[in-house]
Amino acid sequence: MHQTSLGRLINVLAIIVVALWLIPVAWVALTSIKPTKIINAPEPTFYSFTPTDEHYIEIFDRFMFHRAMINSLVTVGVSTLIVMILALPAAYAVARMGLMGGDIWALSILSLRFMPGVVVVLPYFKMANGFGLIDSQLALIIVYTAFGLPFAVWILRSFLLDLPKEVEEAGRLDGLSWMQIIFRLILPMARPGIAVTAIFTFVFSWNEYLFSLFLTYDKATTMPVALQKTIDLYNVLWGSLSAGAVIQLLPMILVVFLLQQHIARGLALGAVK
Amino acid sequence: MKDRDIQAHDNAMKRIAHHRKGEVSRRRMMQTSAAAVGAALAADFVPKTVHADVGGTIVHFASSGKRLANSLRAVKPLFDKVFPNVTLEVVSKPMSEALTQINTYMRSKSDAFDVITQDHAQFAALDAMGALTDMGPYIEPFPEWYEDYKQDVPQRYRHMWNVPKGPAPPGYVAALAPDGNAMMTFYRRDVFEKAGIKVPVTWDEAVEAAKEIHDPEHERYAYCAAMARNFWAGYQFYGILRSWGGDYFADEVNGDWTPTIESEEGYQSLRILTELQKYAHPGSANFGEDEVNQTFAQGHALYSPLTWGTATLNDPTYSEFHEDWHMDLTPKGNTPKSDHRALTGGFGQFMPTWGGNRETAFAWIKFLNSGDREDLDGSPLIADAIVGAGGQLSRASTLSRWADRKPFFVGLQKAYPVCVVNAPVIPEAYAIMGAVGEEVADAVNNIKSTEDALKDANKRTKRIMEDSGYYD
Repeated sequence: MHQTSLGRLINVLAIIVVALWLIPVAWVALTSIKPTKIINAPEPTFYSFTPTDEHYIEIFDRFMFHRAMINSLVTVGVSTLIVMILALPAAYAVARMGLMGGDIWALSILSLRFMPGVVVVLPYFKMANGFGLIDSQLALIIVYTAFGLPFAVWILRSFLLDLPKEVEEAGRLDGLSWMQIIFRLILPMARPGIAVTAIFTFVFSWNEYLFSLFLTYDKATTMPVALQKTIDLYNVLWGSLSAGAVIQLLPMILVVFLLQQHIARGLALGAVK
Repeated sequence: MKDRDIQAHDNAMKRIAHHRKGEVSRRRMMQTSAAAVGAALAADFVPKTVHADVGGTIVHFASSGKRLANSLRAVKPLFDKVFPNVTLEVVSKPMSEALTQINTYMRSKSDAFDVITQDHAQFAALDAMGALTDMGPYIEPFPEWYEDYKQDVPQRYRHMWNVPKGPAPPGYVAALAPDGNAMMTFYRRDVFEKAGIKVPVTWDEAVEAAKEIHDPEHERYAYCAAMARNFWAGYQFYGILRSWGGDYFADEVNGDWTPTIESEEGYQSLRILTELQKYAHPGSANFGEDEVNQTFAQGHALYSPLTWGTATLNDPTYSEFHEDWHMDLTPKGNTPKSDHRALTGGFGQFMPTWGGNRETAFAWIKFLNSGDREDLDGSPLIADAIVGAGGQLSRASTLSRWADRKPFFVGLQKAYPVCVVNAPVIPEAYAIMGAVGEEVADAVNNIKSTEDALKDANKRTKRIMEDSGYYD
């Protein structure tokens, strides 16, 4: 009986915490369907208004959000794919292949991620400018890959360290090569960790602002930068900003829902130590 | 002429709405993209002259937003008809980042852009980078056009774009600006009328007016201004300082860079700001201009004697008080040196040193700045396109044409003839505005005495100038 009451209390507390976390998101979603006049009304309201689609129309019509969405999907999708293809063998090498000073290697790789983007953005800009890559998707794919790889290697490495060595040893006894071990044995076992790593890599790049701002100005602009355009001179277009935020949030929610099983297992197995 | 032009614009707007929904809705019209406004205006436009001999591709970079990139996109369809062989691309970055981004591109000697729209406050820095081109030689073949431009754009505003020396000696024409802005008095006419108050002419009257209409119990605060502890507070102080006859330096035009902030005018300016703060919206001390406008729109603030504001306040879709907000001249001090001196700023188009296709780039700039002059190769619809997209104008004739429906433009009409540049025309202006703004905010919020704040503002300004080698 005591256990049940405690369990209920924890559930209620959990609901309260989740609700508190969701209030700002709900408010943004509400703002995205409020007429501007209601957004700027003297008294804020949750429900007494007629919903409007004007901000969603504006975000696509005036702010070309569809183009920014495609750019985000292409640059982030391709860079995440490249990162994952490169990160798995790299992580395996650091975790399992007995490299001399394996931990130092791992830390060195991760240290690339410590560097604030603002430190390197100007050199990247100069290089992209020199190679004629400004305002191209390729420039962003290169940068997102370079920045995503160290972190992906690090979290995959910690996940691989938790996998049983015996399976690999058995594979080696059966005459499998390193690559065969990685792709035929490790890959199926590491799926939850790979899913979590891919999600983290995707999210970091999806929300990335600084490099997109510096390296693009029109054709290759991604969603975070397009969203910033809703802040007009001396006037924030809250409705359009909220509509854009909702649209930007949707793919993330979808990905997390689709992969939630893997995420839960990945987190539980210590993929993100 | 007036009726015909307004009719043309209204028809264009109706056409856009009709295309979209089949039902005319003002709200829907206001949401329409700038390109659609321009396309609708261009639909019936038959240019008197078509310049098929001019060609090439030009890329124009501007900050995003209604006043800037949107205005350009609205004019583009008209330009395309007059210059059918020119490919014009308008590209933009977020307003909040674009000004510094332009400087980054220029510092890198980027040849990506042929025309750039930039804030006047950045022109001294651009000049120091060698990024500006003298437009004089490009203007020269069009004396009649330039004469018209000079007649229509108020001299004080026009001279501001003559860099490097600023308004007095002309310098060279670094930019032309169809866009303009000035700090003005923003007031709720309904509240003032109810209280029987006229728009204050002097700063002491402004304080009295604020005292009269202050109603904090009903969340209707008399005064609101961008007083964030940075360059915003610096602007407030500078605006008042100029109206008392003071300035940051002894003689900017002739190069006497002795700071003069610690002065009687400086003292009076801080006194006024401190007095007004008693009637301020609680957020005012941390506000930038966007928060001020939001507060105006929500009806929680009723008056600001000195603000940049936005024409959007008069948009019926934006605020329920859209008919109540009116604009007028900023107040002045009450000494012989005092006068109405509205700080002015704006966005001008320049041709970067490293850009290309100069003749075509200038043709576009000239077109943008042609206002109503169809007979001078412009189009009477250019101004309509800019206004339709949410822009605001520098030409007096076009402001007049729209004055009956845009109270903001009435304010601009009054402000331009008495305007002064919004900051010293030196690359260090922002740093100085920021330093002075911090001292001003400290004094207004009772962290420092007025005397100490003025002394420190003077000292910090001198140090910035010393570090930049002005006294060597």
